[in-house]
Amino acid sequence: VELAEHVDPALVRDFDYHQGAAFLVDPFAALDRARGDRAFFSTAYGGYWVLTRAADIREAFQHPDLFSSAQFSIPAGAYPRTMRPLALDPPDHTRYRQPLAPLFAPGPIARREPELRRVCAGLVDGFAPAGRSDLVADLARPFPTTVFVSMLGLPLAEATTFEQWNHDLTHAYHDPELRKSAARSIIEYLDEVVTARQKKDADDREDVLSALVRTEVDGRPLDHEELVDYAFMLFVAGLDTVTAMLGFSFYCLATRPDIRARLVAEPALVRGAVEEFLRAYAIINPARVVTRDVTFAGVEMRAGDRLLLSTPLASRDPEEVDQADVVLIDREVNRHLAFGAGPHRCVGSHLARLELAIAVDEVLARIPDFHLATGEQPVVHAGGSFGVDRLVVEWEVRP
Amino acid sequence: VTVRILVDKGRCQGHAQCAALAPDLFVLDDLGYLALADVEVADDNAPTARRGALACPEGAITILEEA
Repeated sequence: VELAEHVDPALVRDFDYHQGAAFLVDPFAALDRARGDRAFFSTAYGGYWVLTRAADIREAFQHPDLFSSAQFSIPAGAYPRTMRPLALDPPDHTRYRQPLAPLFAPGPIARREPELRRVCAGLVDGFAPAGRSDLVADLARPFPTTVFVSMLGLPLAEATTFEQWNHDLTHAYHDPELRKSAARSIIEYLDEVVTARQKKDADDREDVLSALVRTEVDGRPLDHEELVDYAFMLFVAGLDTVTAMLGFSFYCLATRPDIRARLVAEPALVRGAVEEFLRAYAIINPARVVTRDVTFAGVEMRAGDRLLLSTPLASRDPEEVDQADVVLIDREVNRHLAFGAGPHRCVGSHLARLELAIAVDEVLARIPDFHLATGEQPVVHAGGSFGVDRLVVEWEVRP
Repeated sequence: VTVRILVDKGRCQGHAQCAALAPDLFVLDDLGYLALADVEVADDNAPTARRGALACPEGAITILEEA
């Protein structure tokens, strides 16, 4: 990358949160080590600023007029159209966010708890007698996928295909063609689903897509393309994220017998523990593009510059959090940014929190004591969203 | 002492972390955003109100205590 004139060469760092070697070992520790300067510049993927302080990251999220979501990931996403409402700024964003808000509000999500608990318990019952499990394959992938498929009213049999498409789309940084072809497959599939929903039955169905078919923006129904844009966004945002959070949460539980024992003894602490997992293992690294020349976080930025608003950098900032790199499940105050801030605050946050709490409850109720399998280390990935690809644990099966 | 909860409605983004701590104090609307803008509460609620304010990722809540 040829460095633009306004970028101070003293602020240029060798930083690659997608494929840097340290990021593939422990992405959170790798980020913590990058925290020295308030803001720095990476030359990877065409160049971008990185903010390292929670206060700056929060402020940037809260100022979409200065920091636009027109580019919300680095590198740019593989979706050929506008992912709604993720890629929009207010006031357009506000109009397109509105239809989603009632579907994912705390009340309606809480009413899904019995169904979600049943799904999760069924999965855990399936592997509990084995004494050994790859918790990513057996729980972290199928649980949120099953929930997503059911919320969208899609056939359960296709869940595995969704998982593969989504994995290719989100993680194949080494293979841009594979990312594009995954995007095409998802769009083709969603195209058909949306067509079917528009034709019939939408009035009687309770799934999220049918609710969107019935909804109006600017006093007119959403058109076919807009519906596919929503569906694609839900697909990308709803599957991989909870999988990743479950992976890191259960990694923590597998390696911290003290936390496990406390949660088994006091299940009421699970909700707080989930907040702490979200803070310590915030996984999402969104980006923004600067809309006009500005001095921000002490550096001069130009219109068109991109910047990284890493939620793990924000949530593990020692200027804002005591013992920021330690998991403490009963923090008095925990205002992490795992779900972002500002108008794009994760619309699925209430669902994600519920899924995480249910998974911890249901596993610990059946398998109170488990640990990493001998000779096994978790396999992690970095990039726009951090995650766990494999987490093999073992436990003693009591007769 | 009177205790008032002030909400900057423009900043509330529906994280609902205040309500997770104290659902009776921080009442949400149907979409999960704070329903209140300025409300006086009993003074024994002050510690909980302060915790709720600190829990807000947006800094949208202010607690005023007046003698």
